[in-house]
Amino acid sequence: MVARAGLWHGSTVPEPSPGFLDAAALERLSDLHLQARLVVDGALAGLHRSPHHGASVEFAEHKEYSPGDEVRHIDWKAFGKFDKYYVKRFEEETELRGYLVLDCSASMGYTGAGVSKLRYAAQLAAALGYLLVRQQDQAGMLAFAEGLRHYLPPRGRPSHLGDLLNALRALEPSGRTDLGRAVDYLSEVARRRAMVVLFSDLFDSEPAAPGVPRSGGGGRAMQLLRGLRARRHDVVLFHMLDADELHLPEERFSGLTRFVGLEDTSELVADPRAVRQRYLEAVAAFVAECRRSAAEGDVEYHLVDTARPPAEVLMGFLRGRARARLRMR
Amino acid sequence: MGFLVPGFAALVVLAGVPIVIHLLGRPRAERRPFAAMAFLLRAERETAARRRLQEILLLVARALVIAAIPLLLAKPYLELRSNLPAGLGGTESAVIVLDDTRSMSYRQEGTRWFDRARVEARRILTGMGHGSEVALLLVSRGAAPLQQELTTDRVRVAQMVAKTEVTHAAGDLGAALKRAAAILAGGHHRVRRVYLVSDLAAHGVGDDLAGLWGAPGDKESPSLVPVDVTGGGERPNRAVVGVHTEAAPELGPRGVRLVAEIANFSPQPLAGVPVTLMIDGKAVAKGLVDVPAQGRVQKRFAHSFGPAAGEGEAAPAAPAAGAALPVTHEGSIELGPDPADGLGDDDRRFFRIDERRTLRVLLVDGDPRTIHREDEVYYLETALHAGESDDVQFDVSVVTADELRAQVLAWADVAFLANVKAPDGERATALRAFVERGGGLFIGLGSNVDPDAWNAILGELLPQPLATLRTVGPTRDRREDGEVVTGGTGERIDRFDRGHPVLEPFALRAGGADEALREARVGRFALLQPTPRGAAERRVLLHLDSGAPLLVEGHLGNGRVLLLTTTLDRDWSDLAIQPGYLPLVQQAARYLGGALVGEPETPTLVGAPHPVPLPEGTSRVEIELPSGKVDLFGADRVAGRKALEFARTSEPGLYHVSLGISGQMVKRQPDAAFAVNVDPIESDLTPAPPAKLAALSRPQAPESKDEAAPPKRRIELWHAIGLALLALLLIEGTLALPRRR
Repeated sequence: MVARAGLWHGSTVPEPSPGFLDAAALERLSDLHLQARLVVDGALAGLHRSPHHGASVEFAEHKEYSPGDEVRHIDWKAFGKFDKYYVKRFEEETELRGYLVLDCSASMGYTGAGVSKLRYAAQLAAALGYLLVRQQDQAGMLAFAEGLRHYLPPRGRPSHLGDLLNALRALEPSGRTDLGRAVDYLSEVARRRAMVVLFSDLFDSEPAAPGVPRSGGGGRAMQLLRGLRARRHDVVLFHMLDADELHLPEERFSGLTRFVGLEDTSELVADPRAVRQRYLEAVAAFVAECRRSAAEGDVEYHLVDTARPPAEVLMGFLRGRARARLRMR
Repeated sequence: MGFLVPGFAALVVLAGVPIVIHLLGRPRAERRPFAAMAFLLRAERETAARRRLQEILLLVARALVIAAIPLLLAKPYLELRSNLPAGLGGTESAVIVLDDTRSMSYRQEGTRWFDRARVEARRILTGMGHGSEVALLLVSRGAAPLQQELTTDRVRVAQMVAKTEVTHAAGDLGAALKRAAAILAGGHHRVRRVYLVSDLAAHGVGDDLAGLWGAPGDKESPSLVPVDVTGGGERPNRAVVGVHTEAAPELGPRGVRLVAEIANFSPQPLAGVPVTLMIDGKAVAKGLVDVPAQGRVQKRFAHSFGPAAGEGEAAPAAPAAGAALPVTHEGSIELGPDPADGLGDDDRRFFRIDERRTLRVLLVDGDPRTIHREDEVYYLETALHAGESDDVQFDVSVVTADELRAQVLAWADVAFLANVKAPDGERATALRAFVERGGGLFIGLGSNVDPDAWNAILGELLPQPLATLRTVGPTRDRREDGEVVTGGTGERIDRFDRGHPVLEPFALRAGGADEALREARVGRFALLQPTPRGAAERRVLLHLDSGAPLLVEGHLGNGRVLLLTTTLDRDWSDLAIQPGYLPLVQQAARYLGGALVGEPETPTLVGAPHPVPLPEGTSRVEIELPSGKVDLFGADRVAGRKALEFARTSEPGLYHVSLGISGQMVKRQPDAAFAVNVDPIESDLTPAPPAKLAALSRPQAPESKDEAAPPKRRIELWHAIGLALLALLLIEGTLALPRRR
């Protein structure tokens, strides 16, 4: 399966390495290229502890022999079992195409104690782009909010990495979220199977029905992602949430507060202490629903607390994929 | 409402501070852009209602807490108009006369008047000014004063009030007020008052109290301050105010008629009031009566105790030895329950009935003979002894005319004078007294009877004055030379008064019962003189053929007299040998002897002493009260005395007396039991006329306007506010706790 072709081909999962640079520290480095390298190096430093290495050419399936097939690909073990000739088919050994899709809506600009979710997502995307390009794969980028902000087609040249990082650096949060348009566009441009990595908080800013408060748009977004998955793309979701959004911490939200919506004009004056319990329950339900929906749609889901170091998140992602490859074998 | 420190009260406006902070605090809320607004809005929507209520409560609690503090410091109080007596509050010498009479146990709206009286008395004690001195008296008759010397220790007096309980006794308000006046004469203060805490019923405020306080204008004499505890309104009450017994000969010798007097003291008539006659613990008769408003009715019950005690009836408190001793019955008249009746203890009245089994008959022989059958009373004595019925025994004693004395008559229930000469003055007086106090006298004539002498000496006793003797038939004149029979055929009995109890055995004409008398022939009899007495005083029971009376009944005092105008033996008639003679004389003896049942005495009233006769040699007396308590009197208190004045008659009901005589075991004496009833005067709860109370009050002139003004009752509020503050702090803490976590 192409989608499972990994960024990392390790067979076992190492323990996470402490001492990752957090997003805020990385952000202080003005060079996004350097940031990406640091993140990747940090992640790989953790992963390289594994003594196992995978192969570069991966078995895909068996096919009954027919004239014209390569004789060297006949699986003699299968012939011994079934008394028929089967040919081993291998993964396409062409370059992997990765689309780094970033949600640039205003809600992604929320900045808690560290960096904004968008900056965090940019760091992660840069690291992934760096990894892809380093292993001669192609990396593209699609930024969207209410509409498409920027599209960079996937390329594998080292010089393309600079364009990618420049584009990521230039992203600014604004507007509302319209994942549908981004998915539609992606469906048009990604005709071959590709890896689609979405960075979004999944906060749908579409107006709700009268009298019904708006909810997180996880359900709709996941539906769109499952559509991508149906086109045999390898879909990875990095669900970007700030620690404030996940925990509404008392030390940061204690007194009477006027909450102002980032993507609309909604306001709420409330005592966070009074609504905290219900809020946390609602966020937990939202995350659980996203996780469940992703699992049902075979979408790889990663909840990203922006308080965590990006390298740790990346390492978790790589480890997960390595674990998946092991299962495939 | 007032404040002791009004300056602090102004700080109550600080209560608005939390509200102002609340209002001003909203714009000062920190502005925070937030991405996950959808979840915040949902959480807000789910918690808004409850949280808003909590916030409002918290705001109110905080405002009240801030308001309560200055209020507490300002010491607020309320002044209410008080129904306490005017002028109360100054320094005074006072006597509280607490009405503890039976009427104070009246229950109105679930509360006894006496309980209200205790409250009022304590309020008066509390309301008196500093340095006041007070004494405490009770109204009930015979009650000892609780505090008869003026004291400033009002706490102790209040404790006495709390311990005092209402009695069943009637009151003597005059005595209490006189004692109060005497106590106040030694008072140290100019203001001297008597607080009469009472129901102020008319029965207690007599005209004799008018001049109690001396001359009007006398500043030294105390004033009476009546404190009415009744609260006005109607005071419905009904009561059994009297019970007495009457002989009911038509029911037999042990027939008795009980007459209960039932009073209705309410302004509405009572219909169908159930009345029950209880004898020896059993309801023997029931009835219903209608009693007009403010009226009285009599309910009559007839009851016969039967031929012998213990046969089919509840065993009375009879002595074990012999039927000759009287049998004592205990009973009561009771009214059925009525929720509207606030005074229950007068719905029942107790009595004791003695039932005698023996009739003591004294035969006075005016012509005694040595030969018994020639004796004047031979036939009479024989008739009384013969065929004695089971229910009445005649204890017959024969004396001569010379032996007739007051002491002898005192023994007898009935005396038969048979051919007795006109007695002298002393004997005549004794006979007259005997009849007046209820004795029965049967007079039979004879040759010794001188009509003129009898008329002169005992004219009052005779139903009709005697005239001349008339001889119409055979008589047996005993002369010195022998018996001589002279005369013609004589006269027969012609007319009967069949309705008279004496002739009850002959009342049935159909069975020929009267023939037993009609066969008699009367040869000589006395004619009677005309008399102005009416039929009520004189009644002819038997007439002869000629119309001359043969048997005449008269009354004197409580006694009855039967005059037979011929002899009781065979001298002037053959009546004594006729079949009807025996029932005639026996029935006459029973009739003259009166009822064998009756109340031995008027029941004692609660609080009045009751004399308990003590036989010689009594060394110990035990008196059991209706409640079961027993009062003991040892030899030191009863030895050598003929009677014991028992004064602890504090409960209505029947008291039983047991005596220890001559060192023997203490034994109950049924004939010494006595009934004690409540005084019916306390049942009438009609309030005293206001004019009479006003005349009695004669209040002293107030010294100041404040004294004249009706007193106010001050209720201090700061204690309650302090408690409320604590509660508010608790509430505030509870509501704010989740916010502080």
